[in-house]
Amino acid sequence: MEENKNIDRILNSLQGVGQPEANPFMLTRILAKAKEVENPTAWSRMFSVLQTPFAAFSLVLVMLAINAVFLYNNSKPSFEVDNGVSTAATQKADFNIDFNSIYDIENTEQ
Amino acid sequence: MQENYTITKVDEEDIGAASFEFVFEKNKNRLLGLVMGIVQQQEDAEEIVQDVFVKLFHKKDEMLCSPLLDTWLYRVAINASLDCLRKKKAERSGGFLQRVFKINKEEIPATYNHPGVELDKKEDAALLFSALSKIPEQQRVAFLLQQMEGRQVVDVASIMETSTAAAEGLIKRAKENLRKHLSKDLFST
Repeated sequence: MEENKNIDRILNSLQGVGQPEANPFMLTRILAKAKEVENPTAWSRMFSVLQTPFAAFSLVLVMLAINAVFLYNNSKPSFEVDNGVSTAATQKADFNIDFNSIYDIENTEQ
Repeated sequence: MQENYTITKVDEEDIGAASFEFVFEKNKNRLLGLVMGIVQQQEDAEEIVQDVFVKLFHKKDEMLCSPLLDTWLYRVAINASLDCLRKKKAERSGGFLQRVFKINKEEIPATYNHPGVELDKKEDAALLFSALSKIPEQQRVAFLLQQMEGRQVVDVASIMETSTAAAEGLIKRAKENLRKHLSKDLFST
């Protein structure tokens, strides 16, 4: 009984509630905001274009296309297949050694 | 001829601005009170009310003379408030990264004190606001429109774009749910 009375009192506690005071500069802010929306700057215009779903989706597609091209180019096999086998000839080419023996060096120096 | 036209246009603009200011002054505190009741945060409420009046400013030619201005203002304010609540809820539940890194953008205040509530009713109102945050949005709005604004069920229905019977049902269910939550809160303390 007492509990019901308390609940009723709480439920009615908002009846006739006073009004809060709005910020005194609210009207100035509203008018400034409204004018900003009416005359958008170049930046805000550009961002508003970028924010459209079409522009965002196109950008995503372009990025995906660039990635796909990059991956495709890098995954192409090169003409010279490196099979991991090094021969005396390849080692010579890699290290720029044209000498096979000490005899060759001695002859070259002369 | 050109001069006359210019003067007439300026007059029209002045009248428009003056009537906008009149509507703003007449409604700002009422709207702010209701929006504060719904979102339970002063900064958010002020932001929402500002946005409502910016919308009105852009539609002033169409809306200022409309007999539905009052209903329109409330409808826009309520929709914006509910959007704000949903956004906050989504932010609080957060994405995966927010949960992993425990980023808590904003804590929910434990109790809300509406500035319009009288001092002797503050404790009761805080309990009521706490219970209000636990009931469905539509019920909350219907209840607040009736209790804070003293609106008739017909007005509540018109603002919420629903039938009178539905609005009545919302208010009834709101009261039942609030009773449940309040009795739980009172019983647990």
